[in-house]
Amino acid sequence: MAIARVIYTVRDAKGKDATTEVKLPEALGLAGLTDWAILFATILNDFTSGRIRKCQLTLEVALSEFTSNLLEDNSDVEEVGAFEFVTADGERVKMNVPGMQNSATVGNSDDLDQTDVQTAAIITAMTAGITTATNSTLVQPCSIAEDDIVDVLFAREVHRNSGKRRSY
Amino acid sequence: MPVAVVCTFGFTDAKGKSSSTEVKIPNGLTITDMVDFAIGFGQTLIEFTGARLTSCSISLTIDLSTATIRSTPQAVSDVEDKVLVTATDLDGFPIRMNVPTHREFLAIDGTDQYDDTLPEVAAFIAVFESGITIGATEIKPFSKYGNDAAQVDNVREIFRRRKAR
Repeated sequence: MAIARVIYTVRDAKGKDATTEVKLPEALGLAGLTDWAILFATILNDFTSGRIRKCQLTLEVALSEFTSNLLEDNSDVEEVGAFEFVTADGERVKMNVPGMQNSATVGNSDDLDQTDVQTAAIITAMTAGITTATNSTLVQPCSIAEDDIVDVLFAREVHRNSGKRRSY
Repeated sequence: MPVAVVCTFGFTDAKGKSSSTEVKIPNGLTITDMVDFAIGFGQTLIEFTGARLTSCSISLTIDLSTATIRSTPQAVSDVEDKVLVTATDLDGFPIRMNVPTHREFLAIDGTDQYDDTLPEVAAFIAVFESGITIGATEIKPFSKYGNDAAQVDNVREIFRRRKAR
């Protein structure tokens, strides 16, 4: 059975944060998980002396859902496909994809070939969204403020130390 | 302001180095739609990269404005002063929960053990042993093996350096 994790961030009097988590059945659904997390927050509040400042729900997606997920011999996560997009409100959103293949660039430049099938697929997924398989819902990527991404500004190869990549 | 849902994709390359990327999607979707999107987008990333996808998760922020929680930490609170809750699931596998910011009056005088006759402690234990009612169903926390919690074995104060639990 799929497991959802509810993670509470607690802040103390000195301003330090720490987290604690509870695992729940994902089958409870989003509304049920949210209700449970809110009810438990009140119980947790009485049990602790800090301030619960954040509650995050995390769902894991099984890797068995993906196909052709193979490791190439020369792959390097420090070779990054750097994309920059713009939202309807003009906000810029960056995305750094680790492990890009050198064949994705145009000639001797760092620019990614946006007509390349794999690169074009990422740009289309970011700017036009993806229609979900089960419910045929169009899901449109967005900025942190939930403004829809509408266009790509550039896509190019960069080199970055390995580590967590974020979009902004 | 609502904060977007974050889909995080972790990759590992041929040298064993790891890195990740994120994409944000709006709130208001069902779990099925969020998972389907993550699968579709992750598959697009797999086609683009030579690294292997090694993790995929979806994180969303839960609004606690309707929960009854304090707005400021108590003066003596310290996230390194914790409560260790140990429980077992239906198959006897352990469940451990480190809860930051211990409350001194909940421990039995002169010991690290929590007093399970106090309502704050009893309510916490009841979550594991009886669950929280959602709809008409009592929902208990899971172990990492996907089993319901069965009983709480011990609740006591401990000290741990601050980090994500």
